Amino acid sequence: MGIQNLLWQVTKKAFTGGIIGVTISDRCCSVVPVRGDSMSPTFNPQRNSYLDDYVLVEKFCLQDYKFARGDVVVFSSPTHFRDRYIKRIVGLPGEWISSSRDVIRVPEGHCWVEGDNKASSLDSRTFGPIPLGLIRGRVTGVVWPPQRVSKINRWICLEMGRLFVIDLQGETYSCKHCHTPFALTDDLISKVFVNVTVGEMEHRIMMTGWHTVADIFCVCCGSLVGWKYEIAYEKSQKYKEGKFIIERFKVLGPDGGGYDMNEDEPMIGSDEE
Amino acid sequence: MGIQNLLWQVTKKAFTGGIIGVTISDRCCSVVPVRGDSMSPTLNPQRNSYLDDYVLVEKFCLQDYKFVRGDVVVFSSPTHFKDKYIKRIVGLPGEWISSSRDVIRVPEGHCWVEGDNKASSLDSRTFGPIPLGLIRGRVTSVVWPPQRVSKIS
Repeated sequence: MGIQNLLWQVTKKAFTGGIIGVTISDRCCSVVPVRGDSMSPTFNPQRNSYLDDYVLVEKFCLQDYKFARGDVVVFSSPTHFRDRYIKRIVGLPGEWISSSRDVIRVPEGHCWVEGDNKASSLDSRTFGPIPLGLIRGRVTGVVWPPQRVSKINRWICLEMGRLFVIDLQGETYSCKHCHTPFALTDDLISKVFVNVTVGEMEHRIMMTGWHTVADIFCVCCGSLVGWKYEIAYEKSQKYKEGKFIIERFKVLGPDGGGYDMNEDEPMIGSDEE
Repeated sequence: MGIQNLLWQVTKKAFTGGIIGVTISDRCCSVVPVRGDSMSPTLNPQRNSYLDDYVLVEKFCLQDYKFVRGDVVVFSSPTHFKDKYIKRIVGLPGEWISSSRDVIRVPEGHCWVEGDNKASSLDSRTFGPIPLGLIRGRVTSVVWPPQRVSKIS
């Protein structure tokens, strides 16, 4: 009697645990292996199947289907419905994608996906845009092997008029509106600010004299974030050439708050508006 | 102490029951209302929304995706991914469908769906063949109102 009761209890708990596991896997997140190298070097940088990456796929995104350009998603193949592919979204509904010969508009309710390793990736360039209803989850990070554990960010690169955003690992300053990273906090004095487009050069008088500057805009949302010194006309200001100034009120610092981060005189704030 | 323990027991059972319900709804079957009259007279023969049919949708078909011509299925719309439509499969992969002006071949991995009430149905004649991956379940029978309980053939 005691054994039977114990067995029943264990079975009940195992069954309940199994059901809860299935629900979590369907609705919250699950871990899946990545096959193939169509997403090198993001996933599976070596072609050795013993070292396949396992990634965490979150399913909360299926509630409201808000995807952004650069998200890596798992979706059912439109041609082989039992297969699941992992690719990156590079085009949202309504956008124009330049394919091999022509320019295609992504229809409403669809998205354009491509693998990071374009040479060996079966993606929208072959089977066209996919309906968003085929998406089964979004990849948030690599969980195995342990040395490759990392978050997947919206890595994209600027090429041929198509919008790509470069990801920065570490503490960054980012756009206040769309959180696109511009620079690492360690790189403040460098000349390398990413994810900005440079506008036209114009002569402007700043507090330190005449300069030729060009406004810079966030490459994702287009908001004005600062300017770049192209030419300085006074010898003492020559060091500024090629440097970027990001306005404190237009960015978020690594802790989320606005920061005074330009190395120049604190006048900035508003030669603009 | 007794009350607290009782409350905890009830909460646990309710939570477990909820989870099991969600799993069954996702993986086994669920009951959904039918909106619109695109499937008249099979579903919703009257245009009265107080008398909408409720149908039983089984999800076991999603394991091996074996559909036949004539199945009534629930699928996500290819254009409005948040909406679900209920239509009948009239074309399987590789078959030829004669549309208004020309003859179309249903591509691999897709199917052609049409509503029974062709006059007021938004279906493959508008948005083309749909990938089988969009299908969310197959309708087996009507379960409400009671006088219309029947299996869908």
